[in-house]
Formats: sequence, structure tokens, C-alpha cells
Amino acid sequence: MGNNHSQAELEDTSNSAFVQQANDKIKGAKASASLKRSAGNTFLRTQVNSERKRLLLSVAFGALACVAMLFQWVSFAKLAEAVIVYEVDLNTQVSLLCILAISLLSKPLFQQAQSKFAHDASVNIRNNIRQKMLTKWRRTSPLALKEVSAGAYASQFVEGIESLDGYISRYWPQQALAIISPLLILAVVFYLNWLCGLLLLISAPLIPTFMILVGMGAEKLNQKYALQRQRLAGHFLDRVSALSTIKLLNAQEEILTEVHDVSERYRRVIMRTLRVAFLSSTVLEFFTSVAIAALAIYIGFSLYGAIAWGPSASLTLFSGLAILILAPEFFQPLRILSQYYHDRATALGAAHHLVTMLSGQDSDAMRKSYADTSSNAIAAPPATLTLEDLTLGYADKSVGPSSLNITVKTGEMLVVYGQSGAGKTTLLNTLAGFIEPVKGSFTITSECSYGLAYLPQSAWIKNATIRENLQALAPNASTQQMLTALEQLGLSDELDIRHNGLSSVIGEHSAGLSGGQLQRIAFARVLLNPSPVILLDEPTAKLDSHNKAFVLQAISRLRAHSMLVIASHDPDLIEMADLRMKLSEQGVGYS
Amino acid sequence: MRFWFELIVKTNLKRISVGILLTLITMLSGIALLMLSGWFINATALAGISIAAGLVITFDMYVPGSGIRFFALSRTISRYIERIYNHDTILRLISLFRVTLFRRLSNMSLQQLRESSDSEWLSRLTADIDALDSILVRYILPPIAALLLIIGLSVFISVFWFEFALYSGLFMLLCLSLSVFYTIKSTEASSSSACAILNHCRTQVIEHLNGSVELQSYHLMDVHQRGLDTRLQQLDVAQNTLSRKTVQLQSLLDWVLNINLFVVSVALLSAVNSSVITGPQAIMLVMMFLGVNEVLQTFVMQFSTWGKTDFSAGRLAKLDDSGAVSFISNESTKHNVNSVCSLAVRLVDEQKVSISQQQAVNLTLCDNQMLNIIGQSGSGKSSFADLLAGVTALNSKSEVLINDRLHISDIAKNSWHQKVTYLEQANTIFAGTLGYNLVMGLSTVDEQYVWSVLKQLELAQWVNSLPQGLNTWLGETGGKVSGGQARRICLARLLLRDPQLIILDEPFNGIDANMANRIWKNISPWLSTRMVILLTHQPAEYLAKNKALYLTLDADSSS
Repeated sequence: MGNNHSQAELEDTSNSAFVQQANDKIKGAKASASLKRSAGNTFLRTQVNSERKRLLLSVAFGALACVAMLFQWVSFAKLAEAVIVYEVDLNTQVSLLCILAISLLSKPLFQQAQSKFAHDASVNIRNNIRQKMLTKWRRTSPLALKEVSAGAYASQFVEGIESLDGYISRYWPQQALAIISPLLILAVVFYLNWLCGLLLLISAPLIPTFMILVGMGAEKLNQKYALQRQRLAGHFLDRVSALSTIKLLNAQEEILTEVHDVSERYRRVIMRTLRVAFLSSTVLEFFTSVAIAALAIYIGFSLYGAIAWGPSASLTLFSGLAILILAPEFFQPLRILSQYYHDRATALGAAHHLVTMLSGQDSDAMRKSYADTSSNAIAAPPATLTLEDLTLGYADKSVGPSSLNITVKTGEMLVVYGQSGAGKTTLLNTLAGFIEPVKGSFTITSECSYGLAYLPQSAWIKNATIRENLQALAPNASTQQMLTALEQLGLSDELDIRHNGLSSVIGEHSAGLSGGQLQRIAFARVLLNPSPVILLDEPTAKLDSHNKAFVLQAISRLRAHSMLVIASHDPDLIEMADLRMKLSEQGVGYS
Repeated sequence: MRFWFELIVKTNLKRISVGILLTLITMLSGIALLMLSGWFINATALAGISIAAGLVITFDMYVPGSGIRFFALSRTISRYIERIYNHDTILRLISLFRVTLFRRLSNMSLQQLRESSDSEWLSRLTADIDALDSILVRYILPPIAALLLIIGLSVFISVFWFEFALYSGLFMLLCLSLSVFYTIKSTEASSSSACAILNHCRTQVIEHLNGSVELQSYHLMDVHQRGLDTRLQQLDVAQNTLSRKTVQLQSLLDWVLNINLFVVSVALLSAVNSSVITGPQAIMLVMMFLGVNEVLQTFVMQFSTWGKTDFSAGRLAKLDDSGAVSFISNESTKHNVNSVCSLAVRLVDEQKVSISQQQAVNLTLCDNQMLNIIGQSGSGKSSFADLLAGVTALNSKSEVLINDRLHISDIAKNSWHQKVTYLEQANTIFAGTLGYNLVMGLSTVDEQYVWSVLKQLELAQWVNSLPQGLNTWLGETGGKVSGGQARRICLARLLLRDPQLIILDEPFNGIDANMANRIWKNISPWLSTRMVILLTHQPAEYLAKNKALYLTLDADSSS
């Protein structure tokens, strides 16, 4: 009777109730599909198991609510019979009235407890998975993380995990209740009148059977239109994402009409499949209505005396009324379950993606758990970097020349140069521990708990204040230190004049600041938190000569206490270096 | 949200009314089925007892019996029709929302569009539009149908017991209005703040991951994660508050409804005691409340999403404020260009064209001239092209002068893009047929000309080899094209037009040198009658010596 529309129904016709179950059966034949599904399924099951206690409590309270409901209606039927048939004064029926009142008042409390435990379980599970993801990211090489867009990860982290809520807090408990509650009701009905109980018992398995039959029809129709639907559904996003090209082609009016036409066509296709898909929930409605009607007529005729066979003689207004009211309650848990069914489908989809992500290999280099390091106050101990017969590359594919050998000590500066693609950045990534060498090894002594400072080619800038941007990699830097570092890079004038100094916000897409400024802000972090080993990738590439001077000065200042490994083809930097390593197709040259 | 409410009501009033009527019929059939059944078994029980006692009474079993069968059927059928009909309405509305939104978006300037066209923004956009269908299915149809249901039932009861009709009507109305308004009031804030926090989470995750190279090398990943942890705690709080409030409200409503059910049961049975009404009538009314409770119970859940929907609607409304309006109003005061005969450019201190920060970049170009702008990656080539094409705005010191008198910023974009075509660095292939991709935005198409262009770009043979030819579907759900093919399709798109200024940013990206040479030769006649600006990494080999002007953007050898 309620309105059970949901967005999900809209997006996918097959969401409606048991159609999915039918889909499962069809897809079950296809090994790959079932494999995917089972991975997601196992994942969900493990998660649910970790909060089993709460979820079972939720189910228990749901069952209690059902018991309260039974007491409520049985006592009401008894009262009604007493008053209407035996014309007893209501005031004498105190105990029945008490049972009615208590059951009516306790039922909402049980239901509240049911939702509360289910919700708590869901929150815990979602938190747990989020923490797992964060840990996973800490242990995965950043290069592996970059293979998938950060936006995709973020939407798994946000929506993907959120979409498990419906499954955990609604579907899972209801799944159990859809069996427990009807059985409880059935027991009472059987006790009251076995024929009515039998009627309900027969209809129960019939419903899913019919639903699956209808569902298969809908699935067939679905498949027929699958490609067309997919194309029509993706149309809007496709055009919006290409809107700038559309405007360059002066086609926006044309596309506007197209968006309208395509939406209309999409509607017609969807409606064609919906007409069949909705039949399956109609089956449930139909059985509920027919069961009520059939029971009402059977009970009515029995009470009238028109039916003389079977247990009808034993029917009274009490048992008749109780059975009539319990009949819709018998189907109710199943109806609720079918409303929640799309929760399961969404959760399975999301779980599958989560499993894929969480099951990726931990990188060896990242597996060590690192202590919290951010003490720029302590003077860095001297370090030595030794490359021994090192060959760079990803997996087994080597990049650049093989057998690199060199030793760099604190206070020295190594510049690696060569054509793009020669392996400069690969060397830095290897030294940072993000990729394994293909052959040979390198050692950094006195690494202890210090991390490396690594400044990649395109600087990482957060949509936050300059202060927060600096603190991200130099958590202990004081305001004064920050101002000094910015001053040393020629930024403090530029930023103070044009913005609000440290508190000015670097906007989305780094609006308002030039590439050179962003690069220098990133460099300021290295100054604020210099570690014994500093890796710089093209630190001067985006800078004009005036600003480059600031960076070169800062580099020579860093050189006093740290070892610098710089990838660059800037002649000035190559000139400054103590050690040079030229990478090319012919091999490696040292100077 | 008001804007969308009004939009829905204004455009679909008739469908909404029919939808409400169908919802009402569904609710009524269900309740009537319960009422009639309850009445029926009581009436038959009493009649049976009378007969057993030897009284002669006439009781028509068949009219109420067929009534029960009728309501059983009408409940099933009306529910089915109602769902179909209302889903149809929702799909119509989504179509309406999309068109409305697309119109708004296409009013944004190219710069704004470029900046916001990342996939994260897009998925947010669709999620926001999808959230809007709650307005119809949760906030419009059920409450109005329930209101009508309450009125209808009260009128029915008043036929035989006016006072009770008054009580029950008022009670149900109170429950309906209080559950709607109180739910909105108490969940709105936490629901929309949960949405907002989830959004912050998303941006923080993206930043966290983008910084993974630096953070991991410094071993600061877990330190930086603290911000995210705090955010997750906030999310916990918001979600717990929301769920606690919703559950409490639901419980409260259930309590009120159940207390009422108790009071009503007792009152009705006492009324039977004192013969105000008959037994069957009493049971019928209890059954009525049973049915109505089921309808009223749903409203807390329905309206607990109000904050979320409001949040989405608010975000969509922001698209309006982000300059689109001022852009449009400015646009109407601008000049149209009928022809582009000359171009004078002066760039000073442009952020993204680094050389202009050291010295001003000047260039002039006249009809039939070709200019080759050379610059390494990172030198700001594409930014230069964007400035020339009017995609991004110039700073106050720079200027682009058309025909020696019009500033590029004073020209209406529509007329400008008719005269100027721009091959962007990235290829855009639309999900659609190959033919569609080529002729997009053209008013007239000559198929023979299309084929001749395809031949010039050495695509004709490939297209002929496709089973569906020009009707082959490209894009995500269709055939994949290689980078070189995509590039040539984008080039073909330009060649089918009749521009006066052509800006080509790395036109032969992903195409080998030999083919590039051949294609350049093929399209040279077409290019020769127009102004061409060619942007390349190195001096273009296919360009015949002394045929073009050169400009380099590299710092060490500026011209």
C-alpha cells in the first residue's frame, strides 16, 4: 500500500525484486560472472560476520516485534469476539486489554532496537572497510596508485562503501526475518485453523516461483534492449563532458534537441521493459490480495454455516478474525524484502570493486610500517647512497641503460641527465622505493626512520591554504620558518602582496597561481623538512631565469647537510653538480 | 529545491494529478479490502449464530463476497498501473531536468566548462539529477494522495458516526502533517551535513592519493591521513545523528499510531457494548485504521531524505550562479563578425605562456598566411592556442585584435566559432555513429563531400572496410578507434566546415611522418585560402620552406 518507488528501480529495471534473483540464476551459468559475484559475495559475508552479534540481535528484536504483533492481534480478536458475539462488558476484560496495550506499546520499541543494532553494525562495517582502504593505500606504491584515477578511488571510498549500508542494515536482517516471521505467523494460524494454515503454506513457495518466471521474461527483454539502453543512458554524460568541443563546433542547439530526443527514446525503451519487470512485484501483490480475499470468503462462509466440511465448524469469530488480520502480515516480510532487493544488487556490485582494490599486492617497499617522522629539529645524520650494478625498470621490462654504479655521500649532489625516456624519473622512483630494481641493488645507509624528500615533476598542491600545503610535508614547521622558506624562494613578496600570505587559499585547479609559483611552493616544503636524502625531478623546468636563481640558491644551501639526487637537463644544474650521470641508449656516462 | 518543485508542477500538472489519483485508488483499494473483509466475517458470524439459534434472517452473502474479490483485483491492478504511470512521469521529468541543466551548462563560458569537465564533477552532476526524482515520488505524490485518502475515509465514516469521523479525520491529518513537517525539520540539517561531509571526504581522498608520491617518500602518509580520519569521525557523528533521529521519529510515530489503535479499539468495542454502532461496523473501522497506519508509517522514511535532496538541488542551483548568467547577458551586447581578415596578437605576462613573462610576444597574420608556432611541451603552446581561439580569457595587458579594430573579448562567441575552427590537442570522439561524429553542428551535408574529405585524410578505405560504414558506432559502447584514426576524424570534422581562421594544435599527433606528409599535401589547397595557425613541437617537416611565418616559444632561442 505504501509507495515503494526507488531511484534504483528507475536506473535498472531488473532491480525490481526477484527479477534479480532470476538474473542471478541465468548468469550463474556463466562462470566468469558467477566468479565475480562470488568474490563480492564472500567479501560481504566476511564483513557481515564481523558484526554478526549486532546483526543477530537486530534479527532477534525483529522477531520479538513479530511476536508482539501476534499477541496484539490475537488478544484483539479475543476481545472483539467477547464483545460482539458474547456481548460481554469490555470493563471485565482487563487482562486481555492489558495484553493488547502492552503488545501495542512494546512493538515500536522492539522495532527501534532492531533498526538501531542494524545501523550500528552497518556503521562499524563501513568504518572498518574505510580504514582497510586507507591502510592499503599506505602500503601500495604510489606508482601503482596512479594507475587508477584518484577520482575513481574516491568514489569507491565514498559512494561504493555507502552503498553497502542498505544491504547490511536492511537487507541482511530482513532476509532472516522473511523466514522467521512468516513461520511464527504460520504456527499461530495452523493452531487456529489448519486449512487456512495450509492455504498460506502453499502460497508461500508459489510466490517466488512466479516471480522468477516473470523475472526471466523481463531479463530476456532486458537483454534485447541492453545495448540500446546502455547507449541512450550514457548519452547525456558523454555530451556534457564534451560540451566545450560542442561549443567550439557551434553545435549546442543541435545537441540540446538531441538530449531531449534521446531522453524520450530512453524513456520508451525503459518503459517497455518496466511493464514486464513490474509484473513480478505485482505477483506478490496479487497473492497478498487473493489470500486475504480467499480467507475472508472462506471464513465468512464457514461462520455463516454454508461450508460444512473440514475444520470449518471449529471456526469462531475469534479465530476467523485473527486469521484474517494475520494473512497480510504473513506476506509483509516478503514484500519488505522485495523492496530491499535492489540494495543487495547495488552492494554486490560495489563489493566486487572493493575486493579488486583491496586484494591488490602490497608493495614490498611499502610494507614496512613507518614511525611518525617529522622532526626537522634534529640534525640529519650523514648518509651514503651506493648503486651496485643497478638496472632500472618496471616489472621485468628494463628502462634505460643497465648496470649503474655510483656512490654519493652527504654533501654531494648528483645530477642525472639524458633524453626523456632515458630512465631519469625511473631512477628516482626506484631510490624512493616505489619500484623494485630489475637487477642489482642500491643501499642507503643511515636511512633509519627518516624518509626521503622527493619532489616530483608536477608538484602536489592541495586545495587549501598555503600554510596547510606546507604543513602537509613539514608538519612541525613554525610560521617563522615557513615565512623564511618562502622568502628564500622569492615567494613571500609575491604571495603577501597579491594574497593573504600563508592563509590565502590555493583554489581548485590551482587557480590564481602560476606553474612556477606552485613549483616553488612545493620546493619550500623540501626546505622546511630537509631529509638526509633529497630527490628532485626537474626542479627548475617551469621557472624563468629570475625565479630559477632562487631555487639554485636554495639547492646549494640544502647541499650542506643532505645528499641531492636531481634529474634534470638544465645546464646550470649539471654545471653545479659534484657527480653527473648521463643516461642514454648507448649506455651510462659518469663525470 | 523550490525551482525544481515549480518546474515539475508547471510542466507536468496533468500527469501529477493522474498519478495522485492512481496512488489514491491503490491506497483505497487496499484499505477497502481489509474493511470489507472485516465487516463481512463479522456479519456472517452474527448471521450464522442467529440462524443456529433458529432465527430466520436473510443475509446476502454474494454482494460483499464479490466486493471483496473486486477490491482484491483492483488493489493489484491499480498498483501495477500506478507504478507504470508514475515511473513514466519520472522518466519524463528526468528528461526535463537534463534539458534544463544542459541549457544552463551550455551557457557557461568555455573556460568554465574546461575547468569543470573532470569525471568526478560529471558523476556528481548525474547523482544530483537522480536525487531530484525524490521530489515527485516522495514529496508530491504520497502526501497529497494520503491527504485525499484521509478526507475520503472521514466522509465515509461520517455517514454513520459523525463524531468518530471528526476525531479520526483530525487525528490522521495531525499525524500526516506532523510526521512530514517534523521529519523535515529534525533531519534536514544532519542529512545535508552528512552529504556535505561525504563530499569533503571525496576531495580529501583525491588529495591524499594525489600526494602519495611525496607523502610516502617522507613517510608521512599516516600523518596526512589524520585529516581524513577526523572527517570520517564527523561523518560517523552526522550519520548517527541522522539515523538516531529517524529511528526515534519512526518509533514515536508508531507509538502514536498504536496508542490510537488501542484507544480506537477500546472506544469502538465500548460503543458496541452501548449499541452506538454494530459489531461488524466496529471491526470494519479497526481494519480501516490498520490500513491507514500502514500508509502513514511510511512518511518518516520518505521525508528523511529531504536534506539530501535539498543539498543536491542546491548544488545544481550553484551552476547558475557560477557566472553563467553574467556571461549570457554580456554576450548579447557583443559584436558579430562576418569575416576574419587579419589578426594582431600581443601577449604580455600571460601566466601559462612562460615566454610572455620575459618579453612581450607580438604577431600579426593576414589572409591566406600561415604561421607555425613552435614550442616544447610545457612552453605554453596549447594555452596560446586557447587564448587565440577565445577559450580562455586574456589578461588585461594582452590583446588579440581582429580586423584591426575588434577585440576578441568583444566578439560574440557564437559568431566567432562560425569563422574559427580549432583542433584541440585532445581528441573528442562522441558516442554516436562515425557519420554523426563528422557532421556534428553542420546544417547541410553533402555526402560526396564527406567522402572526398575522408579520402584526403586516408580514412576512406578504413570506413569502407567497416561493415556498417559511416553508421558504425563509436565511443564507449561502440568500436574503438586508434589514436591516429581519432585524430584524423577530428581533422575531418574541421575540413567539412568553412572557417576563415584555422588553429591546429599538433594536428598529426599519433600519425607517422609519412602519412602526415601525404595528408598535409592533400589538404594544402583547402588550407591555402585561409588563415592558418599551426602549433608544433618542432618546425613542421611537411611545411615547405618559406611558405610560413615562424614563432618559437622556447626561452633560449626566441624570435
